[in-house]
Amino acid sequence: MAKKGRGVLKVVDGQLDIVIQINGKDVSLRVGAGDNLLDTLRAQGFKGVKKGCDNGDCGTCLILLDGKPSLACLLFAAQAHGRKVLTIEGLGSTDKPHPIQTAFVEAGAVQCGFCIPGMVLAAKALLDENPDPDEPAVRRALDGNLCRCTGYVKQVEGVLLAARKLRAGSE
Amino acid sequence: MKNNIRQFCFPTSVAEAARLLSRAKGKVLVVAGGTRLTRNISPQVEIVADISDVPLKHIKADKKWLKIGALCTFDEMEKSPLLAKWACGVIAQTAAFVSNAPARHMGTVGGNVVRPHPLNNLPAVFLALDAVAVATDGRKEKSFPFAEILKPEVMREFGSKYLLTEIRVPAVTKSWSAATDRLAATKTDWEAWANCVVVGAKKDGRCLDVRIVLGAVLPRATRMAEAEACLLGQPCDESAAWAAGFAVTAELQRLTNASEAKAYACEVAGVLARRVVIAAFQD
Repeated sequence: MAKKGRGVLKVVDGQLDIVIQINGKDVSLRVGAGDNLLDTLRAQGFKGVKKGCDNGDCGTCLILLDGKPSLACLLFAAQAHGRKVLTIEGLGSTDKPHPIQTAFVEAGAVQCGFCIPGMVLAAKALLDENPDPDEPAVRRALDGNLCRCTGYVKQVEGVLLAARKLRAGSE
Repeated sequence: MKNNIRQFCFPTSVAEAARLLSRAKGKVLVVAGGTRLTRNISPQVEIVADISDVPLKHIKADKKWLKIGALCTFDEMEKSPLLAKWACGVIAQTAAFVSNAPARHMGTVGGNVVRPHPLNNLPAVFLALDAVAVATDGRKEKSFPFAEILKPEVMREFGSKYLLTEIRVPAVTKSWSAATDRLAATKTDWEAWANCVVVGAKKDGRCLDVRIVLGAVLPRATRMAEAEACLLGQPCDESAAWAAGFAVTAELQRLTNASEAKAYACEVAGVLARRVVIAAFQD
């Protein structure tokens, strides 16, 4: 699905038709003109995109939009038209978790779990760009994800462990 | 929330985006990075123009200017090798201070400039670097010095009449001394109490030229003329920095009409300015 030339989308009776590539599949959606991407994804069953502050502050709704960490609560659903969205559901599953998810479990980084989908995706964006980050780089990459259970130590360890796992896997 | 949006447009060129603005004056909401809250839409808005496909992501330099495309994200600016070298890396460093990781990946320099907020970091840096904002109304290009663009009456024209396309920084500033710092709860906390940028040139240990800009304390980034006068022609040492710091506090107290609510910010801004002057002019 090409991103360029997304054209003009007409709103009829307050609604418009968009196509978003969600987790590798083109999904056609009818959305409200003012709908945000967070509510749209959750309505489609992607409940791993959490609704926290709804204000761009907490990072629980973090998704990867064309590979970049983005906050779904701040975007119109229509802004994702013709673009690629990755949610936690597209990264791994209970049967086949992604190495970052495995590392988070092994590091004891998951407590209540509410912030973890956003953190894992933030970690993926970091490790895609920098496979061997140091601790300050990890802390910086996670600085938009609030966790009220922990002191972030275990999540930072989880990302560093994931980096080692991914490097070992690619060698 | 009720809205009157009739169309979402995705222009792919500056000309197309500017045409859209001129055709539907005052009814277009321009979005790019998307850090603006989508639920607070004015009922006047009928068209949402997502300009993120317009090719304005360049960071380059020629003999006269450093040119930064309006759609460059903070993350791209932070990681730009060219910006890392320009004026002691003050632009890249400021971009790195912005909010948090997703905001740095989503937010653009254009949005930070044209949606003015006292807490935005980049307008202060561009004001200090004598930058100009280049915009188009679809027919002709116009350059606005930053001292001009930050005025509310000029700012209102952006997004309604003019489309910001580029920030240009004079080439002469490449070798200038510079430093910036902010007083906030955390290094990247958007809600700073004070934000200071100092740039300048020195020769034989004396200050030849200087800009001291304060952000966050006043409604918009502002040059501190009296503090600058304390430094011009003086040896770049700690006593000059102390004098500049006191001058910043005094000037801010006047500009804020000695408001009690701002008294603390004026005091800390003076201390911050002193530290930033020292950092900017240290060898």
